[in-house]
Amino acid sequence: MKLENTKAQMRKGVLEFCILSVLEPKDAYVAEILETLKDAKMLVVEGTIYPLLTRLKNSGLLEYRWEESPTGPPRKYYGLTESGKLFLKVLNTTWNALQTAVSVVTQNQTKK
Amino acid sequence: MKKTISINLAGLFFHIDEDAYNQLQNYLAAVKRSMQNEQGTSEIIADIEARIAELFSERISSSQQVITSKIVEDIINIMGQPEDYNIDDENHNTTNSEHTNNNTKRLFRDKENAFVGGVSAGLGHYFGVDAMWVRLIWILLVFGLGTGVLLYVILWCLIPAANTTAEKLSMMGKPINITNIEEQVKEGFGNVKEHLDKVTEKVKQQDFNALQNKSRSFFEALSSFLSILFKLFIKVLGILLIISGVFAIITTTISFFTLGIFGVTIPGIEFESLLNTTSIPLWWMTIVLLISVIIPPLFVVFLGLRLLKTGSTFLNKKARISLFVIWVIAILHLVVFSVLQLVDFKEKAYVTKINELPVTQNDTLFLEMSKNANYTKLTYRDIFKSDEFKVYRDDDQNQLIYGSNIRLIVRSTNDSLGSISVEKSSRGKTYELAKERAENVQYGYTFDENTLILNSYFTTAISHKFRDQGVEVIVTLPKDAVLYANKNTYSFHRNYNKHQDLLKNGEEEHFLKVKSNTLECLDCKN
Repeated sequence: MKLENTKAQMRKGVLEFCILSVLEPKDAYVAEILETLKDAKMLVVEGTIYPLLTRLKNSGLLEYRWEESPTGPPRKYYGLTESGKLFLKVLNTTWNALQTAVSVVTQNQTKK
Repeated sequence: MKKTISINLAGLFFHIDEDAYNQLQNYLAAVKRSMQNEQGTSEIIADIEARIAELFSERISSSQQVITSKIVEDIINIMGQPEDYNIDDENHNTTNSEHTNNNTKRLFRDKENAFVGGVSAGLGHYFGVDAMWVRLIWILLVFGLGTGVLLYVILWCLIPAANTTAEKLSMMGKPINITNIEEQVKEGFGNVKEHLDKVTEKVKQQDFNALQNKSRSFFEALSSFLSILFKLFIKVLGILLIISGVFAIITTTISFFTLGIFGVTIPGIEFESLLNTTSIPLWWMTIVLLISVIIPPLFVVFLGLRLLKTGSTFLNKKARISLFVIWVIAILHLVVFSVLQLVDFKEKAYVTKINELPVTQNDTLFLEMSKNANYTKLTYRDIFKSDEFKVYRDDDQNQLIYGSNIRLIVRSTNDSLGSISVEKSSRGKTYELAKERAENVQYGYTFDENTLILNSYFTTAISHKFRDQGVEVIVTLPKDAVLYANKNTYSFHRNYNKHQDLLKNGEEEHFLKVKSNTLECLDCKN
């Protein structure tokens, strides 16, 4: 059991949730999503996000459109679909419950 | 000065250094490999390429127009190692476990440096010695009773070949990451380059160093000739292996069938109860024996087939391993069986009973062996079956073991009266069991009008099993008595001098006067 692995796995578990959350207020292209996630220290390397985005798109939670960019190649702008929004709602409740549960458990541990 | 390459990355145009280009190409290939299980890989790769293009264009300015390997390294640091692209938890775990194995060497067959199957080269990598030494050991083992061939075949079947770059690296004992894969690829390019250099050098040398070239080309011709010879030898060896393997399989199968018909199946139940101490049924033992005998030649045939057609597998790895495991289990079975069997032969016990024999001085004793028509037609023993054991049914249909392991010994005594001693022996797990068996050996003789008739056989109930039972009859005669032994005693006192037997082979049917420790022939011609 390596610390790095556990950390990476923890992160990867909530990464989908984070991506959906980033896209909730407004559509964004990959670099913007990455920037938000990296600023929040949610992501260390970028590589992980690409297969995740494709997977979310393939399962119908995300959709994308091409937009011309002023500097580089055309960008893929990702946005939530209706089912994506619903999915995110459920995840939000789950996350809150989980967070409470974890903090209860960890605080109990520290009290002992 | 560096050569640059122009590339089109996601529709954008870049100048890139040659080494940076190779680095990037390796990286993308490795990323692609790590996502093999993912759906829509090409789409993901396109996204990644687009992102890389974006990052490249951020780094390009009027003063920095070319993508260098430094930039590529930066980008790889941002994007992450190929393993990071793998998001499946399941896959993630496997890559993790590979990670932990990365730094430890793993045993693979090195097909690139193979002579036969790459076992030696692989072992060489594993133990960090030159493959030549390993091969030398094989050759020695082949001459040492051929164990090397069998071992080689087993290893060949068990050790997987290093096919992927990752496997090749872990065979060499280097950690698998992008830099090492790159190194490997570079090495591959380097080899080709080296080769080309050599060729050009050779061409150059042709001009001004003809003599050296000649000798070199001579050695090259010799080595290519040797390699052809070696290949031919391998093919011939393959054919020989196939032939001998098939032959061995056929003969063992036939011998098992004949054994099954004449030795095991029909009197099988009797045979089993005679020999078997364990609860393992005989048919089971027969199958186990057959398996343990047939599988090695089967592997020999596979080896032959592989030698003939390199690179082809005629059985997949699982089948080969399970065959091998079955073989080992069969062998272990046999070992356990033999040990159990041997244990029942551990102790030997003797039961002796001495009776008076009313023979006095100047009496003449006529000695002969009897026969029982039920058991055998002959009173003398077959030379090759002197310790014959058979199972017969007596008049009440009880099964009896009939044995002819009878030893006759004649000795002299200073007493005035003769005696006869019957010593019965048997073996068993404990002394008590052995003794019980010995006591249950049935042996008889009759004495009537100076004629001693000894049974030429003993019997015992089949429940006592064959445990090396035997009977030793010592006829002790007083001095000056006369012995006349029937010819049919001959085979019961072979090797007379080993048993301090006074009655010599060849002195049957003569009147022999008993002296102290010798017999004097009264009517011999010389």
